[in-house]
Amino acid sequence: MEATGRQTWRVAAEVVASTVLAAGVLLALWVGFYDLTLPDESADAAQPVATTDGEAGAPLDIAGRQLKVVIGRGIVRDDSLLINGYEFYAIDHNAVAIRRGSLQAARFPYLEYAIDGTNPGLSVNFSWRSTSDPRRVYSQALNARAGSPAVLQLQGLEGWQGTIIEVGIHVVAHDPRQSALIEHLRFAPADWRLALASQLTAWTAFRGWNQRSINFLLGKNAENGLSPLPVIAAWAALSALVFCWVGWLRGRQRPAGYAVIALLAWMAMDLLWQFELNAQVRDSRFRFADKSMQERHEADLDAWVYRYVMRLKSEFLPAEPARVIVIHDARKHHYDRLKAQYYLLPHNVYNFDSGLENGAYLPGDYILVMRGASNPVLDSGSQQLVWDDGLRVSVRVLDSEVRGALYQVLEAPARAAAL
Amino acid sequence: MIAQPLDVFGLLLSLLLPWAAGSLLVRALLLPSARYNWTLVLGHGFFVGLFLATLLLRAWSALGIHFEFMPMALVLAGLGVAAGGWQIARRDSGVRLARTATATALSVWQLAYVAVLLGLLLLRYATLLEELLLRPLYAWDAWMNWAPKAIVWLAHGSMVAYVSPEQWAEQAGAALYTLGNKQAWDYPVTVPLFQLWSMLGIGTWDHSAVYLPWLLAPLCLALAIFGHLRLAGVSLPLAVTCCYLLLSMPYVNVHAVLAGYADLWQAAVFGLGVCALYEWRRHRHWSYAVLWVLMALLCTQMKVPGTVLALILLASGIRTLLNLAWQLELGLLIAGAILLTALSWVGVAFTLPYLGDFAFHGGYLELGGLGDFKLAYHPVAGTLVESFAWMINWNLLGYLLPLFLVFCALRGQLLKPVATEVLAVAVALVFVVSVFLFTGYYTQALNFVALNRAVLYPVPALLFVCFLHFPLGKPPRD
Repeated sequence: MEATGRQTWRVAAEVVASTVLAAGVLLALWVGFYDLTLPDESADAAQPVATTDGEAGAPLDIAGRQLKVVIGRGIVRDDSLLINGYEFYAIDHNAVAIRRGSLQAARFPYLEYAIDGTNPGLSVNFSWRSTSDPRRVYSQALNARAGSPAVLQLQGLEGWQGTIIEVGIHVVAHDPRQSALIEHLRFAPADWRLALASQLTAWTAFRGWNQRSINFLLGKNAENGLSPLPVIAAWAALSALVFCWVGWLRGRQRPAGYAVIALLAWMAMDLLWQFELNAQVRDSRFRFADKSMQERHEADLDAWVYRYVMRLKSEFLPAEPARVIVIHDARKHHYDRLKAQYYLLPHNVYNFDSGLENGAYLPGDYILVMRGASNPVLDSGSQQLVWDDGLRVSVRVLDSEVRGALYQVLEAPARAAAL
Repeated sequence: MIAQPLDVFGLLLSLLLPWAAGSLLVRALLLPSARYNWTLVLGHGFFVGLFLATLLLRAWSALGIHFEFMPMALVLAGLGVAAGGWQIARRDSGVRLARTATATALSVWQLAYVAVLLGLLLLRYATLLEELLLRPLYAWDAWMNWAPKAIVWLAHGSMVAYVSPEQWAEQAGAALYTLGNKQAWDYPVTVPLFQLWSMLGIGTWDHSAVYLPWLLAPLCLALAIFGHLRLAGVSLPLAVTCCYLLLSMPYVNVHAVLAGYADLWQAAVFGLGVCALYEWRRHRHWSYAVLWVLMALLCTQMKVPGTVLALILLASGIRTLLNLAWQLELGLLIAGAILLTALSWVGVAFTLPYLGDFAFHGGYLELGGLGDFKLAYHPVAGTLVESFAWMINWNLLGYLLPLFLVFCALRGQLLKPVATEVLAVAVALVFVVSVFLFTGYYTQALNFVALNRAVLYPVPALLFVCFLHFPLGKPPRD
């Protein structure tokens, strides 16, 4: 029994030593590989560099106070900018602070930032424009919960090319009482420490659910950079090699040790995922805790659809299920129109294209034309809905507002004699 | 419909009653085999019980009786009581339970190891539970394809018919419903009936608690897998490891917490079918044959591709029954491949009553209700690699599985004739991958919309057979 215990201790010690040594080797390999992949400075030197860029090889610092708030409100506090006012759009409150100038994207592959926005329900994004398409704003979520300075790898992000003419911070708050303190942005040249920090930042950033989460999980908050999974796999593989070498030195291989290494790697990935889930729950608590279901819908992404449909249901639609034809310009699956159908349930909803192609509307049917739909239009003189194929349906206007219009069919339609 | 307050008693009853009744029925079924344990019974029981609840809902609707929770709950309770009573009556029938696992005492290391894994799982599922209860229904297909039927049936008190959008437009009244997705009206009704059962118990359609079965499904699946592994003689630490790997996979977690999809259920019943198939193959007791066929039936009730998974399960069982020499099997396989090639070249088409049209010619394949497919190779292997080796969906499964296979090969385990349950999993994997490699569904792999959801189907069964035949464990003697 004692001998077995000693063996277990020995395997455990060898596994721990192997994983630690492998982590060191992996880091060394990574640093070495990073040096080999550094961009060619001579190619970059040929490009014209604007004066706001600073000296070649030096980082470019922008203090929070140097940013100009263009949406929302902010106050300067020491060298920082405190965002404390927002403009409401859809369901969230937005603030944007920018700085215009000119910098060469190739010279600054990393952004080091210090932004205190650790509140749940707050998302902080870095945005920029370039000369290639000045009207287009590119954006990348930051890790606002990092607390201490965090790093974003800019190199490889879509749009981080050529001359950048505007950079900014876009804060989205679920609750307007939340604030974000932008301390500083530092655009930095290539450095292996920043590269490493940018990976850790990307892996621990709160990503939150999106409509693609049910299909796949990226494991990081940016399209560029490494995923944690192959790194952890490489760590496990190196650990196994070291463990094999130790076994070879001792003249005895212990297969259980390999299984333990694999499991440790699995657990490392698992803990990273748990970290993400913990942040997700904190965010959900902030949005939904201690609220009725109705209040939760009103705090959710589709709040405008929910409020609108609930109002239609309570003011115009009967208690018993009725036929409702939903019309929208979107031809494929569209979030708003499908969510409207969901909230209209248990009404009997037909929700395709511009309504019934065969024109088989029945007296008493309800027609919901959602915002932006261009077909049909209401002929207010005849009180008919007119489709672009000539179909005319006599209706009563029940409700009309910016989110859509609700009609009730008065009589079965007749096709126009001539289109 | 405005949300009603949650009926906590109804919630508990809707969760626990089918589980208890199902477990009692499963135990009654397995009692004559003398090979079961409580985790296996509870795991299978959850799925059998919920399926029974859906059968009750169908019967109620067919009989024209308005849905009421308590009468149906009473019937379910009656079934459970009858099954329990029958077991009490048989208590002295002389059946002795098989020893389910190694009885040697666990070392402190092993106990600590098991405790750590269980602790991690406890943390994970407590997190998922809170997230599920806080968030209103989120995932797209959940509110587009699956929940609407349940909501409508709850309001009508019966299963009103769903038809295609074209049929809906032709109707003269308002009795027929359709969905916002043109194909979804014809999807199997079992998953909406799971939701309906919870809604009836809770008293409202608009509450996150309706989706608690989505959190219980992977837990009960893991309970059953654990029970089967222990029954097969796999050590406690290894059996717990299998459950930990399954329950900690990010993609399994996502389908539990962003509830409302059918894929997790599909994966669960296929996995349970493979477990039952294994037990039947080893011990040939009719109880497990019934369970295996029942799980194959459940496969057909979850999603459309479940029909193929059910056929794989049934064909695997028939292989066990035939018990042919491997040389003969290989010959039949080659002959079958030649026949298929010839049929593709010559062309064949026929119609089967109730099943529809079947055709196979050149690159065209029609399979009755499953649809028709233009067969051509599509390069989606890179997408698969990205999903398994780059994204975090499956944790390290994509790296560990090839190593595991190499390890088995080094130990000579791959050279043996393939066990039926392993073959079932392998064919299921080939099926889901082939769908993306050779049919028009490849676009849904390239954009990741359906790839991982389909791969999920064989993953629990895959983990089960890996640990069943784990080279470091105590492999079952064949």
